[in-house]
Amino acid sequence: MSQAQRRVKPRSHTLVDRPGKEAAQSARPIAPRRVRAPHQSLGVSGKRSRRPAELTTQAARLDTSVNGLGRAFPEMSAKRTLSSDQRVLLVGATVALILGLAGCPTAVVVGLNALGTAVYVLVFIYGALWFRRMVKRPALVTVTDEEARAVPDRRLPTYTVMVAAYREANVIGETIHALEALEYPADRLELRLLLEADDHETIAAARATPHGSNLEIVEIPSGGPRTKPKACNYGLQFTKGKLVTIYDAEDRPEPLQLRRAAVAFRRLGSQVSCLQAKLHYHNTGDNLLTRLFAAEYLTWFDAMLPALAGMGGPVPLGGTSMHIRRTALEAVGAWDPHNVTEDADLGVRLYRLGHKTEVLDSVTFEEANSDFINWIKQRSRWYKGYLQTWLVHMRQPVRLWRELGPRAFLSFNVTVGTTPLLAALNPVFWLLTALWFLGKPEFVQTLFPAWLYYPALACLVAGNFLAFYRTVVGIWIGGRPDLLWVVMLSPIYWLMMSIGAIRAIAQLVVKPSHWEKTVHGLDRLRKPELQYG
Amino acid sequence: MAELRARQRSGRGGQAVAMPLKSAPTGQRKLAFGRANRRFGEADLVFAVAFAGYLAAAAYLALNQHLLANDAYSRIASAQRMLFGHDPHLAAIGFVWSPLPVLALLPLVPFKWIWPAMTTYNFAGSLVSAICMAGAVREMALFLADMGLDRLRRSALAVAFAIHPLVLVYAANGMSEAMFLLFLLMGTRRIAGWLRSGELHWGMSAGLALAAAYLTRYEGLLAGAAAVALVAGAAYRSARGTSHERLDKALSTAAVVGAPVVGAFLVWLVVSWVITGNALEQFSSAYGTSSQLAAKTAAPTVPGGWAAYAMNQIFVLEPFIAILIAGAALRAWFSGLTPDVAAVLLILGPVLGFMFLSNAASTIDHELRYMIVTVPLAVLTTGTLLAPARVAGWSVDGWTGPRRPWSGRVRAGARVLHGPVTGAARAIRARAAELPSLALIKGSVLGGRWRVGQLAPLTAVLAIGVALPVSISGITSSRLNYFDAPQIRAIYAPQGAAERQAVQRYVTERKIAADLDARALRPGSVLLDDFMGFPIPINSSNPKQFVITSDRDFKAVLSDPAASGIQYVLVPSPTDLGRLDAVNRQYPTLYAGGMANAHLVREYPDLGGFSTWRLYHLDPEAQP
Repeated sequence: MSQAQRRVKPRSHTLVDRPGKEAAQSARPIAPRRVRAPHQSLGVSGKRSRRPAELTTQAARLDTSVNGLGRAFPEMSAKRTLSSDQRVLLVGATVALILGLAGCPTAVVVGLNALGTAVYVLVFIYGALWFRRMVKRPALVTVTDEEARAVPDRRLPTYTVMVAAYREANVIGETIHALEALEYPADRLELRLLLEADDHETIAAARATPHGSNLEIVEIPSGGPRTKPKACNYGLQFTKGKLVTIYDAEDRPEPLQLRRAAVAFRRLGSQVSCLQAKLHYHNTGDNLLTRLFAAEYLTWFDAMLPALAGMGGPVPLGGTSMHIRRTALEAVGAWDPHNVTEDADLGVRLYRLGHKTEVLDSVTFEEANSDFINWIKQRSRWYKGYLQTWLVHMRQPVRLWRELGPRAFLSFNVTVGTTPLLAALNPVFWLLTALWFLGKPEFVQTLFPAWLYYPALACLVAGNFLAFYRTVVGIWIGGRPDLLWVVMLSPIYWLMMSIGAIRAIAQLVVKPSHWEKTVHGLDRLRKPELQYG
Repeated sequence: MAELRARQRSGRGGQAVAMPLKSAPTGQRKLAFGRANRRFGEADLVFAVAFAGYLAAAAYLALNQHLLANDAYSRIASAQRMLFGHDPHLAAIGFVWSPLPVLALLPLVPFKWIWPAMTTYNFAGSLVSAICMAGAVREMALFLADMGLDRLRRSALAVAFAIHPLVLVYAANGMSEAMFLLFLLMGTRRIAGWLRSGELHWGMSAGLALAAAYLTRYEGLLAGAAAVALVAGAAYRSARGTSHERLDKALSTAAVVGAPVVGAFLVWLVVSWVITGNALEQFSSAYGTSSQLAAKTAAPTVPGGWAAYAMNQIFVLEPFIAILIAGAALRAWFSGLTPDVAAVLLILGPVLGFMFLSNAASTIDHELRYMIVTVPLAVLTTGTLLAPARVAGWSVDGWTGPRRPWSGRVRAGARVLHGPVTGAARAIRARAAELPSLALIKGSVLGGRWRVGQLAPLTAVLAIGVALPVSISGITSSRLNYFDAPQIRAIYAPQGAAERQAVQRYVTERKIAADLDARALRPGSVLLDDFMGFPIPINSSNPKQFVITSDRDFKAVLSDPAASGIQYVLVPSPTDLGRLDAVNRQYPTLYAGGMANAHLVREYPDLGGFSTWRLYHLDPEAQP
């Protein structure tokens, strides 16, 4: 579809602009080939001079990867954080708040407190139902090894695996090994490394590593935000696999994962368009932080996410190892390059447009962040992205309610909206509790009239217990009983989350689309590398 | 993948036909869910029938006979003062006893404005205990069905539990026993369910139920601890790996059940500490159990000692309990410990053991009701004996297939003695066949190999059935049930002195309340320590007139009543528990001789067996 056509049909549900014949030719057919010479990689070639047609193609693809979603679903792009309605609402609310505080401060503060408590109560009730589901009806999609291997090669769908990496020269070799360890017929598997065109070191290292002919390097031209989703959108245009998945450079997916996903997709039918594999950490034992992080991840991916999928709400996807049908991915506009948690956003968008997500019982090992500062940065990015996602999809709350129904609407608000907001609000209530215990100051009593005090107290006790108990049960389900003592230290972790959340809110105001890099490779005491993730 | 291959053979590709949407759970899981669903109707019926019966009994006791249980009456008073009174607030719940029985009354208290008997005759309490005991009967029936008992046997046993006299009385009289049994049975059944099925939700809900049992009665903590130890042991036993890894698994498993229990304990501790400044109020309060025991006139002794007395209480409730437990233990020894036997004996057993020891050591009152766990223990033990033999081998990760119990090694050793042992066994069998009372053990221990074993079900049900008439003699005996027996006897023979007192319980207090109501006093004019005086505000139509112990200004008012607007002071006779009364402690001479600014209005003689009360009027002019 050309640009002109696109202007005529701006709401088309297709992401990928097909930039003409040249592009179709350069997107290689999936077939076994001999090992490529390094300079033959896809995308921007190593040659100095390019033909004008090639440049046009590249520009068109880049434009698609940056602006494709904005054109297909302008209201679902995070290019602008707030819609004009939201701006008006925010300004109006701020003015009303200031006026209220000037007029009758006590009533306004108690009112805000009541509002906060009401949200806490709602989140607690939803959390309790979620927890019940989590222990009572485990909903992981399981495909045994035998089932996974039973399908003959020729019946397997073509598969695209993309790995976006930036400044990963030291690990890219291992990444390639991990990808080649995937147990999937080579003639049906296209492996694509998405490397930034100016990241010469990584490109060189990747080329230097011997690899099969089905692994190719796509060079991502600079322009637009330098984010993983943009790289993925760009890379997607060079691939043809019916199923698509992405990994991070540090990931070690379980070799049978693709086969399991293919079998599961077939079993589940066309209703299910996305399967999220479980993410675990391989460096759990590094320090206290990685252990806390691992306990959280276990609870999330082994217990909570399957339950959420089972309850019928949008599933915020994990950053990697999500397996998607290409038709669905293209229909919903692929990744949002302006959203810093494009994964969570994609999960919500899939659900809004009628695609179901389930959780696949297969593990990808990742590297847990072992450094405090680094962890805070990563967490602020996640929370910022959640807020972006929440704001984007809440631009028309009534329409969202109609699309999702009350249950999924509540689910979306609790999982995506309140997660960062309450994490930021928690310290306020902890502080008030501590103050009340220490000196019973007058103003705390004013803040909590009896009708508010008891629900707030009950929520404090029951909510914190639920959060703690959920992790106790989560590590049991995840089969890591050795982490129990770490769970006892959960409050430390909650405090860290709060720091991340407060930072995220501040960043959302100052630089919403800035992708804060997470340093990887600390586990092996290498020189810290920067990458998306 | 069979379907997939079939499709490939038939040459149809593409769309799946009818394949399961989710990964199918294992066979056992499916079975467990299916069974639960099939039993739904039956369980509901059990609950409805039991509730109807208990409600009728409750209405008869409370509304017709006016027989009111003291602790239950004190709870409805707590619930009322939390909502209505001079200074209503949540902390008025009181911290000497567990909170749940009072909290359950809160939604019912406001109905007193429509129907006063809801509180004045504590119908609210009776309603709660009837619901809870009916729930306990339902749990009992479900548990027996879980064990695999057929309908006839599980009905017989559930009925035997439901109409046991002690169960019936405590289902109807508003006491906390019903709620405690409900949560205890819920917890025990769910622990057995976890060990049997490996489904985590059983373990989690067991933890929550046992936490609720603790918040109902403090001995629930013991059941929680026993359950935690049991699942930890089971997890350790079935876990693989190094001993360190197995220990991790055991601890993590223990935490699933234990976290709610420990959480409930800590929360109640902290709440108690925040509000009263004392974390363990129930133990050290001026009104707590130890003070109460100390205040009573010298503890009575019984011939043979309290241990024998407590043992008597147990046997009068379930005469065959020792034989039943021995039978279950023997069966476990020979054919392996099943999850049901383990849960019943190792969770309910310690609770009964603890109550027995406390009773024997006189650290609690020697009331028969404290032994109520005897009844479900005996009935469930009988259930395990009647249950079809199952393969042992169970763990929190689910059924692990055949597994010889620890007795296997012993039996291997015993094989050496095969000849002598079988000879002796044959001789015992021959003798035992002539003794019907041993048929139970024979039948259960040796299963189908014994023809007389077919007598076992009948014998077992008889053993439980015999308990019904025997325990009637127990609960009406002043010796074994000294506190509540007169009240129960009053139902059919209200002539004796003790029986008359039971019928007239709270008549004195009703009279005081009516007199004060007639004076139409303004709020906060009557000083009353409601530790003993709790029946007075509850029978008053103007509860605001009283300044009571839980009011936040009580101490200030007590130290200077006249200046605080008090017109009348009520004081009980300073004997027995009356010595703990705050007014008596503050003004030791008031009851006997009055004070300069107080003159006696009226003395109310004791009709109900609690205390004589005196009402003083304060003269605001004169100084004390």
